[in-house]
Amino acid sequence: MKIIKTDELLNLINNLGKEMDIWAPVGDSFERVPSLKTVEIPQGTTHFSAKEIFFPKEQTLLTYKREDGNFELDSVPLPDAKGVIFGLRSCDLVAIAEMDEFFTGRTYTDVYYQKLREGMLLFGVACKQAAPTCFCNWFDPDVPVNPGVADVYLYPLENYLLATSTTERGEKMLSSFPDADEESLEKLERFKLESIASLPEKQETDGLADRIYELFDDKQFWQGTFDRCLGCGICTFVCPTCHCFDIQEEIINRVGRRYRLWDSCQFSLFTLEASGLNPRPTRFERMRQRFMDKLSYSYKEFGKYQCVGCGRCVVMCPANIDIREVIAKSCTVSRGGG
Amino acid sequence: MNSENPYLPLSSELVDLWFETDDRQIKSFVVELPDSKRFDYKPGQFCQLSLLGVGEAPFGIASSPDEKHLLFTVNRIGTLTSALHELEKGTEIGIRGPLGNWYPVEKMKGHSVVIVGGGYAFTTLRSLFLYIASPKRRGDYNDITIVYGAREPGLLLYRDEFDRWSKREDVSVELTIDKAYEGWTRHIGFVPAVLEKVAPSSKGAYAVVCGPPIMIKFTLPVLEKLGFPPERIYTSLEMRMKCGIGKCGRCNIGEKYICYDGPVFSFEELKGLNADF
Amino acid sequence: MDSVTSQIRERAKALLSEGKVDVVIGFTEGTIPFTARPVAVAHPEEVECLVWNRFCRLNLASYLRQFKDKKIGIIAKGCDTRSIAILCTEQQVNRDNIYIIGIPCEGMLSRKTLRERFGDTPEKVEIKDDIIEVTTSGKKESVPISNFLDTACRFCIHPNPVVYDEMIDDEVPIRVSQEEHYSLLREFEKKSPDERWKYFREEFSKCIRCYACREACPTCYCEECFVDSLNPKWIDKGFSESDLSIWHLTRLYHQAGRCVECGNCSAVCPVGIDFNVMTQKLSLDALQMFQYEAGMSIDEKPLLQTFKQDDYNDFVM
Repeated sequence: MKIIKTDELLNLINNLGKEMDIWAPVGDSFERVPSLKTVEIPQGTTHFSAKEIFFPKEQTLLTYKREDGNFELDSVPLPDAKGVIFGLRSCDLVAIAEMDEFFTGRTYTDVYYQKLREGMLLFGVACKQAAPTCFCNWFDPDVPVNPGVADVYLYPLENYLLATSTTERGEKMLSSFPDADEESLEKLERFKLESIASLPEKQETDGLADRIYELFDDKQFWQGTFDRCLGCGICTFVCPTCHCFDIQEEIINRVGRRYRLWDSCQFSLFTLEASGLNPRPTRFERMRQRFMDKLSYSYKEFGKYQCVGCGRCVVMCPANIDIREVIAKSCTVSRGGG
Repeated sequence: MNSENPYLPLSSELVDLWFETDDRQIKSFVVELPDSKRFDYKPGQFCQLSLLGVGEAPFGIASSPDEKHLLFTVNRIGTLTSALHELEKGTEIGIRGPLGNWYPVEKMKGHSVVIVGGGYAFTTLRSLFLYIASPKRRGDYNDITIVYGAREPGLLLYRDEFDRWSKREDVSVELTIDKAYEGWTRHIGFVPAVLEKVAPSSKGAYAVVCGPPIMIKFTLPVLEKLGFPPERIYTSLEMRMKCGIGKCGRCNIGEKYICYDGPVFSFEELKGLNADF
Repeated sequence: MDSVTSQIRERAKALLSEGKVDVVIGFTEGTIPFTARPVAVAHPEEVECLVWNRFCRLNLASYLRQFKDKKIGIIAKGCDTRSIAILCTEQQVNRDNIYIIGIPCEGMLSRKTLRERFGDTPEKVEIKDDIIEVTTSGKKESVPISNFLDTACRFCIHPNPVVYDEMIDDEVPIRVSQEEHYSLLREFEKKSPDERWKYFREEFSKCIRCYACREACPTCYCEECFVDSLNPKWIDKGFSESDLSIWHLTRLYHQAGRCVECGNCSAVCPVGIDFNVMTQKLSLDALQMFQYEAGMSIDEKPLLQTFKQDDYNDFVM
C-alpha cells in the first residue's frame, strides 16, 4: 500500500496523458478529457459504463474493396488505442473482469476486444459512500473496496490517497511513492468499514441461480415486471456486463466493411431466424431472457453472476423495472411466500 | 479457423454446385480451400459461410472428413442464402470453421447407430453416415440404419447417393415420402411412423435425429417406445447466429450457447434446459 | 392522501369488483426518486398501490395493446386520452373494451431535469403545492415545481382528457395559448438552415439505438418497424450520421397527423435527445395544412388515410 497525494496523482495521470488518452467520468459516461483536473468523482456510478472503451457501440471487423465484381479483402484493421481510465468503481472492475473472461477466454480470443483492453490502464477508486441504488454487496460483500483488475486502485482518505496495484504495470507506476504508515492503514480500515456500512442490507443470493432458473415457467412471477416493460434496450446498453453484438455489412463507394454493433436481447430481431421463426417471439420471453441471463445462466455457465449490482438498469429504466425486486421476490416465492 | 483472428474468413473457391431438390429451393455447394488452409473436422460441425457485401450465416458441413472438398447444402430462405444460390462456379466464398461440437462418433463405436432425418435436415447426417459407414471405419460400428423422408421424392436430398447406399448390404436405408407418388416403391408415411414400423433395435444403440421440429416432436416418443434412453438420442440444433464462437450472445438455450456448447446435444442434456420454444 | 389518488383507488376498486374491467392500468410509487411506475392492477384488493402524482410522466396508452384481449381500465391524462383515441381510430384497440378514467393534468415533472439539478438519488423528495423539496446529503432545498416541468407539458394545450368515460377532479386551466404552444418551434424556425441542420445532427448523433423512443411511443406499433426489416433492408444499423438521421426522421414522419406531442419519446431517451421541436412541427403542419389535430375524437378518420376535396394540395406540382 502506497501513499499518494492528490497533486501527485494528477501529475501521474496527466503525465501518462502525454502519450495516451485520459478517460474519466464526465456527466453520464466516461469521456476523453484533455487532462484530469480533479480526483473527486461523483457518488455511485455513471449512467453509462466504461465498457464502450473496450467494446465500442460500433466496430469494424474487416474491410474490403469491390473491383469488377470481385472483392478484395484488406489487411485487418485491428483497433489501436492507448489510454488511462480514471475513476472506475469496483463494481465496474468486476464487470471488466467478466468481460475479459468472456471475450478473451473460452477457446476463442476476440482480438478486437483484447487489443483495446490491453491498451488501457485502469485506475479504480474505492467507494466512500454507496449510492441508494447500489447493491454490489448482494453478490460479494467486499466489492466496494476491492481492487479487482485495476492496475492502480485508490482509496481517497481525507486529503491524500492510498494506492495499491494488482498488476505489474500498476506496481511500476507506484514504485516511487512511499509506503503507507500505520496511521494511514488504520484510516484505511475505517474507510473500508464505513464504505461497506453505507450499502443496503444484503439480500440473500445463495442459490439465486437455481431459484431464478426454476421460475422460468412461472408466468405469475414475471407478470408484474412484464406488464411495465416497454421492450427497449436501455437496460442492456447501460449494463457493464452485457456484451451482445450484431454483425452487419455495408458497402459505400466500392469500399465495404463488416462491422459489429451493440445488440440487445430485448429486440425481436435478436433471435429472428431467416425462416421467420422466432424462439423469443414476444417481449415476455425477451424480458425474461435478460433476468435469466444475468441472474442464472451466467452463474451456471461461468460461476459468476452477470449482474454486479451497479444499479444502472434500475436508475435508467424509463418504466422503473427494478432487478433488485426480482432478486428479492425470488427469495420469498421459493420460501413459499407471495 | 484463422488462429489469430476468429472473425476473419478464409478464402475458398466454389468449385461445383447443383440443385439438390426438384423445387430448386435447395442447392449443394462444393467448396475448395487452398491446401495449406484445409482443416480437420468431425461430422456435426458447422462453418460460417460469407459473401463479402452480403453477410455471413452458419451451415452444417455435409461432407465427410474423408472427402477432399467441403460440401454445404443450402436452403434458399434469406438474404445470404439467396445470394449463395445466385453464385457461379469459381466464385470466392469466405469460410470460418470448423465450429461447434460433433456427433459422438467415438462413443458410438461398438454400437448400432440409427440415423433419422426429415426434409432439408440431412446435411450433417450425410457427413455422419459417410463417416461411420466408410469402409475404413465400418467395422467399428454395429448395425447402421437410416430412416429418411421428405414430402415427395423430388424433395429428398442426395438421391443418387441414397440409391448407391441402398444397394449396400452392410447398412439399412429406409426412405419414405408423405403421400403415394407415381413410381415410388419405398415407404409411404411420415418419418416417425416408418421408424416405428422399421423398429431398429435400441439395444446398445444410438439414435441421431434431425428434422423439422414437428418431426422431432413425434419421433421422440417412438424412440422412447423402442427403448432408446434420452442420453443416447442426439440432435443438432439451429438458432440465429452471428459470431459462431460463443461471443455475440444470441443463440442460447438456457445457459448453453448452440454455437459454442452445441450444436449437437443429447436429449438428456436438453431435458434440463430452460428452452424458450 | 391526495384526493385524486383516493378517487382513483375507489373507482378502480369499483370497476374491478363490478367486473366492468379485467385490469386497471395506472401508476404506482416508484422504487427510485422522481419516478412513478406503470402498473396493471387486476384485483380489487390491489388498488391501494395506485397513486397519482407529478411523476406520472409516461403515456400509458403505450401499454394498451399488450392487454388487447381484456377489458381495460386506464388512468389517462389529456395526452394519454388522445393517444387512445388514435389507437381506436386506427383499429389497434377497441373503444368498447376500454374504460377511460380521465385525469386533468397539471403537467408532469421531468426526471431528467430533476436529476440534473439534484442527482439521481436524493434521500427525500416531497411536493407541497407548487414547491418541490429535495433533500440531498442532509441538505434540504425548496424549488418551484415549474422549473422542472417536462418540456412537452410546459407547452401542452390539451391537459384535460379529451375522450373519457368518467373524469376525476375538475378541469385544469389551459396554461398556454395556441401560439405559445409552438414557441419552441418558432424560435427554431428563426435559425438558419445550417444551424437547424446542426441541431438535428447534434441531437441524432447522441443516439445509441436502444429504440426506447419507438417502444414508448403509443403510436409506434408496427409489427415490423422499417428499421428492423431485413428483406428489403431499408437502412443500415450503424451509428453514422446518415443512418441515425434517416432512422429518426423517418420514424417521426410516420407520426405525422398521429403524434399528440405527449413527449414520451424525449422523456424516455437515455441520452437526452429532445424531439419536442420536431413533434411540434409535425403537429403544426397537420393543423395548418389540414386543420387537423390528432386524437381529438374517435370519430375522426386518420389524417393521412383520408382525402377531402379541399385538402391542402400545394405539395402537388
